[in-house]
Amino acid sequence: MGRPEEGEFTAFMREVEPRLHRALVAFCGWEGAQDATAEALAYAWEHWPRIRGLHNPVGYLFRVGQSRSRVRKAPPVFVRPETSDHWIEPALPRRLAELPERQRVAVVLVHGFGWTVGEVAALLGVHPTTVRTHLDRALKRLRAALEVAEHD
Amino acid sequence: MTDLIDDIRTLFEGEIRPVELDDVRVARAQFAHRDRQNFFRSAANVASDQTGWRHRRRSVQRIVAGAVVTLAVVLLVTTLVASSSRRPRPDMNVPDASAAITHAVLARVATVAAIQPQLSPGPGQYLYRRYAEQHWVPGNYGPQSPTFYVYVSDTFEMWASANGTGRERIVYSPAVLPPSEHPGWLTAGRPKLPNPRPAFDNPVSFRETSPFTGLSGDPATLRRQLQALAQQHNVRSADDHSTAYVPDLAVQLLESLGVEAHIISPSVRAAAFQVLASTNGVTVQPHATDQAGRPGEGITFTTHGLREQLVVDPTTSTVLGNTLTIIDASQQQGPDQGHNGLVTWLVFQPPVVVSSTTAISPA
Repeated sequence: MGRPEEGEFTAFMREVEPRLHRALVAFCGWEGAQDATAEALAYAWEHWPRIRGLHNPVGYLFRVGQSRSRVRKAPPVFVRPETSDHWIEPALPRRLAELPERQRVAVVLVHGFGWTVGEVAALLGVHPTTVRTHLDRALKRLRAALEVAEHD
Repeated sequence: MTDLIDDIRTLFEGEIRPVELDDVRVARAQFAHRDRQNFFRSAANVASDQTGWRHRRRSVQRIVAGAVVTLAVVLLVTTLVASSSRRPRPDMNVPDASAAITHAVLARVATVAAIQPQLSPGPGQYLYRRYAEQHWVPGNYGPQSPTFYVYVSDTFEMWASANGTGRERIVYSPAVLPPSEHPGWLTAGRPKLPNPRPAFDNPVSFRETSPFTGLSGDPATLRRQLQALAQQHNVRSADDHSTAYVPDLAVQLLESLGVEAHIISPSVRAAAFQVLASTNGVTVQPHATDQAGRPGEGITFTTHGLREQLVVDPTTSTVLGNTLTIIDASQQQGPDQGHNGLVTWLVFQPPVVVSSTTAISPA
């Protein structure tokens, strides 16, 4: 790249990339997230003087990644390419993909990646109550679709 | 069978291959190419002075964009002022009632709530609930903030039997570009607005445990229960443990009249109003209206730069509508932080008992 701020950007990228990438996995699946993350980080590089001053750059770049991946009409893909010894409900990936976008992002980030409700709210730029509502509705819909009972 | 949440955790555990600098280089090259196409009509113009050309064009564009954004703000204010003169809305400048009046009004609302019959579908009957929700969402992204906003709306309908089986239908409406956002949309290059998702319409089960099971009709006990719920509800940050969550939960409880009506008794609803009455910062506004223009009692609380207002039917104490307004954008995070104003509203239709999963009028 050769720009004087390259080192600073690289450090930013190392810090931000894992969280941004996981958020975009929740939005568009493993396949789409790789490209969307690269697009968002490329945008960050292109607009680095402004991005570096943002209060919540991950939230902003998440929106950028969303925006630049919206042309894809295919539903998100949650089937892991590698085999796993863990047994899960077979229809879960497909049912997750069928959830409305914000419900899916909330449930994957909170229950899949261990984010707090507050962190998801900051990412999406919404109130924590809204995230909790998305979570409740998502789990309700998943349980209904998968016909599983709650185990508490 | 493992728990659903364990399954979700299992599905997403493990490492994801990180995006490397090389990935960004490729994307950046594509991005730069697209960007260049916007400013140069011919590939032959790729010359040594291109950088200066591009910067000059961008500076001009920024000045134009700034003027257009200013114009958009002026148009937005003008539109809001004009629309407020045509259609009554919750008045943000109505002076808050005193604490004594707030207590008195909410006590009356609680009394009305306590004497309402509990809606319970009998055999072959369903509790029908319908509400519409509208969000204000970014339509595109500029270099520092969204270029323009659109409204998207969803209509939810639920039919729930006494044993929890039923039907849910969600219809997503096309995005609406308000006139005030046209300048931003033009600046963004007239992008296509997001398409609505296909409707969801399926048999569902509402049988899972509700967080509002077993709540007390005693206001003090209910407050403690709501505080305990706040601690359990996947909330781990100190910020979310603030007392603001108790009125949030009380509002959720009051709005959960549809599928949870069989477990939320009139006495619990009455106690929820009394919890709001004893919460600092909760105020009432007489003569409020919801977004459908229906009059009622306004109940407002403010937290984290957001103001939430319920509009309650004074004759039944059912919730008619709910609005969420950003009043201090500096307390908001994310790209939307610079936009004060109404961001979300809901309009509820009072629940009724119907005779089938296709009926929408009382049995």
